[in-house]
Amino acid sequence: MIDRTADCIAPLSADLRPVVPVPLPVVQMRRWVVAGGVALAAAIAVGIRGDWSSALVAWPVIGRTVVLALVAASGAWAALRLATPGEAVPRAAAWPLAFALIWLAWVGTEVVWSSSTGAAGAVGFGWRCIVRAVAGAAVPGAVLLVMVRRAMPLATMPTAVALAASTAAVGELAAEWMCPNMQAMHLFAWHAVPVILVVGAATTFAAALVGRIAPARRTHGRQ
Amino acid sequence: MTPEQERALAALMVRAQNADAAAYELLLGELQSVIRRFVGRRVGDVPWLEDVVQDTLVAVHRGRHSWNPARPFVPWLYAVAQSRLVDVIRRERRVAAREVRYEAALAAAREHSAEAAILAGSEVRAAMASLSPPQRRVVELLKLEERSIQDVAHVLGLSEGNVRVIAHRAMKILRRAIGGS
Repeated sequence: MIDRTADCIAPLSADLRPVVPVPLPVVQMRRWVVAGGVALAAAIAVGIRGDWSSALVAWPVIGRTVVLALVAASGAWAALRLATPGEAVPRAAAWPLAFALIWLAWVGTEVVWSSSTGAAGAVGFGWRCIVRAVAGAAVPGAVLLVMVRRAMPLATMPTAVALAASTAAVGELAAEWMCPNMQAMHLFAWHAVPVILVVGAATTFAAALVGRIAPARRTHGRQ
Repeated sequence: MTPEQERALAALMVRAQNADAAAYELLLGELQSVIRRFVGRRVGDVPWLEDVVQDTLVAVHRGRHSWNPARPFVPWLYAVAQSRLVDVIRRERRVAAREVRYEAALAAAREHSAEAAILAGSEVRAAMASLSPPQRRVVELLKLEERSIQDVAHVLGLSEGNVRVIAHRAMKILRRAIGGS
């Protein structure tokens, strides 16, 4: 048995190529904030909502923006740490999930509250909000995905959840500042549900999304 | 592991990242025993311990870029080993649920009483008697002598398709005879 393990060293040594070490998570985070921030700002600038000046002082918009920014930042940080062996802290994906739950509770409360006052509005057909979210999240999401896949995520599920939560939050941030429709039902159906679906899909396809290390061959025989 | 040993491993890893094959071979040799100790402390002397060691060495090789020299090396290594260990444990559980170990099957077969073996043998012999001579010959060659279809066809002077048809019908009769008794 020991000989076999010793035997696997020679092929690994023969396959040795120089590699560039992955930067520390804090360096990657900085890069993600810059690249993602610029891309998000550009997307919002192109399609900013007409009532942006009043939105700037509307506390529900500001509140949701802050919570979404927390989801995005904590999600990216968790994904980067989880993708770096030896860096991962237990339950690193808990923070973005907790912030995401706060945001969902916020949207849910708005639905319940406005339904009781008869001002929930209609679900309507808000496909443009999906396009806005995708436009805002495409670059930050791609940058984060490349960073995570380039490292070595050992726990694929929490890494994928953190990555998806962060990306979906960035997209939702874009949609928040590009969509003038603030009716509760619209927010729930076309802003919150897509976020849930994205995180759900990432959970389902975690290994394919963030990549995983294929196991080495088995050594002891079985029948 | 002493701080000196940790520093030595980290230095070897830095050289390995720069494609120093001699340092890499030395590093992997050292890591073998480090990983074996790490895993052994957690799960004891299990038959698949070497699987974890090998899996970890391969993972170290594939993910050697993910260690940054600004960080300590051993926590990185242990995190990789821990993840491989969890994967192998899961794999072993899956295997245990679906497969029978060769040694266990052999032991069970040995424990099987001679009487049962005689009974089974007599059952098969009785069932074989219900086959036509060509069917019996095909079954003997295919199943008892474990010859290939081509080989049997050649021996009996039949086409391969014909051998398949005869074998299929014979097995059907045997199954019915043994299952029905």
